[in-house]
Amino acid sequence: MSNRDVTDELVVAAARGEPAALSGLYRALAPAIRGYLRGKGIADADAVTNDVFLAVFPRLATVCGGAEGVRKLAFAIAHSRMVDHYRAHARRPAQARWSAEDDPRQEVSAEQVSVDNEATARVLAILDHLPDDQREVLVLRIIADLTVEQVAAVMGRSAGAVKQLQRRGVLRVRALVSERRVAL
Amino acid sequence: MSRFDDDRSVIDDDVDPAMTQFLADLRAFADCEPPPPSPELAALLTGVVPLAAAPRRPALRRRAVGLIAAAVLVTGAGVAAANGRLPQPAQRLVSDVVNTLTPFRVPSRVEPDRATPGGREEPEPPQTPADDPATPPRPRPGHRPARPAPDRTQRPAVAPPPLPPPAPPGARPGAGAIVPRPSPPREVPGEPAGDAGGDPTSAPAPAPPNGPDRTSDAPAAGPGGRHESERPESEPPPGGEH
Repeated sequence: MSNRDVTDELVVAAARGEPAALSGLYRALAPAIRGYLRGKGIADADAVTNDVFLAVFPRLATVCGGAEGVRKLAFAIAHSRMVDHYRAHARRPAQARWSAEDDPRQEVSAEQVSVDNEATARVLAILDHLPDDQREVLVLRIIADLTVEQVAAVMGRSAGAVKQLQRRGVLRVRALVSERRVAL
Repeated sequence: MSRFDDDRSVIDDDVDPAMTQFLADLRAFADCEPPPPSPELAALLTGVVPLAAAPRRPALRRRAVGLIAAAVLVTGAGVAAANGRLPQPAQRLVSDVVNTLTPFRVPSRVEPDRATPGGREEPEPPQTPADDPATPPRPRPGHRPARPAPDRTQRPAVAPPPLPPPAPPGARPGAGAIVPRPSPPREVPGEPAGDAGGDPTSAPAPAPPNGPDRTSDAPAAGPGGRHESERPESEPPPGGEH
């Protein structure tokens, strides 16, 4: 089940509190939420993802717009949690580094972890060179797969501003990718 | 098909393979298993806890408590300022804010009758008959006696002595009010007593028994340089001897 598999019927059933529908909604949206949070550089993306759904589920009965409305609400809450996370980080900057050896949730092979970590590190290194708003637009457009209008609603910007940020972000990423290829 | 592919104009026609790889890697962030739910979320997913009873963030409660406390504080400060119960700097500050931001009017000065030695004044106790009318008022702690208003026309060449002088030679003993002790000087030594009060018809009315007139900010001084509230009712107005 992917991010696009959220249907209006699933949302209606989840709003009634049916456990199967709630689990289906979680399985459909949680990977994209987690990917968005990872793309924003949050270390403990799993915990923040759980926090997002703890806030989304009680509001399902009040959401308008069906499946698209729930997706927009989920990423808007994820955006708020991300902002809260970095504010809390600013107050408590000291934090232990995550280590793959100490994380019991890892069950894949070491080679796969190495390959995944390399790709992830490469992407995050490029995203780190972007301004925050450009990074936010690219992550919401590509990982969360939201439309320009939905991204504008999540960020509190106009659609035109989001398009400009997206264009500048893509141009900046292309320049960074070219520089890295030359450097390699 | 991702919605981002609709914006091909952003990526241009000559798609860079490295750029394509970057986009694929970034999109792969969402291709993962959902994280294991926390105990609270698992209770919601299994239906053990209804959606209406989902745990709320404690930050909202803290924010609400903070807002209520701030509202109570602001209201209390506004009410105290409206009654003139704040110290003068705080009164001025609160009145400036209230007068600027709200349609209400709050006085910027503490009223003189409410000022105490620490910035306010206590109301003057009413004069009782047991008080000696001829005795000058005792200075209260932290209270400076009001100076008489300077009279340019009858200004003495020499400042009056601090101690009360002896009775004038022509004064009849026992005339007027009973004066067991020498009263403070009402006129400058060397000047006739009748000149001190000026026109007797224009002598002010005696002060009301419950204190001085508070309608004026400046303390009213009598013709002899004495505050009106210091003159007893039984004492005739200065210069009123016939």
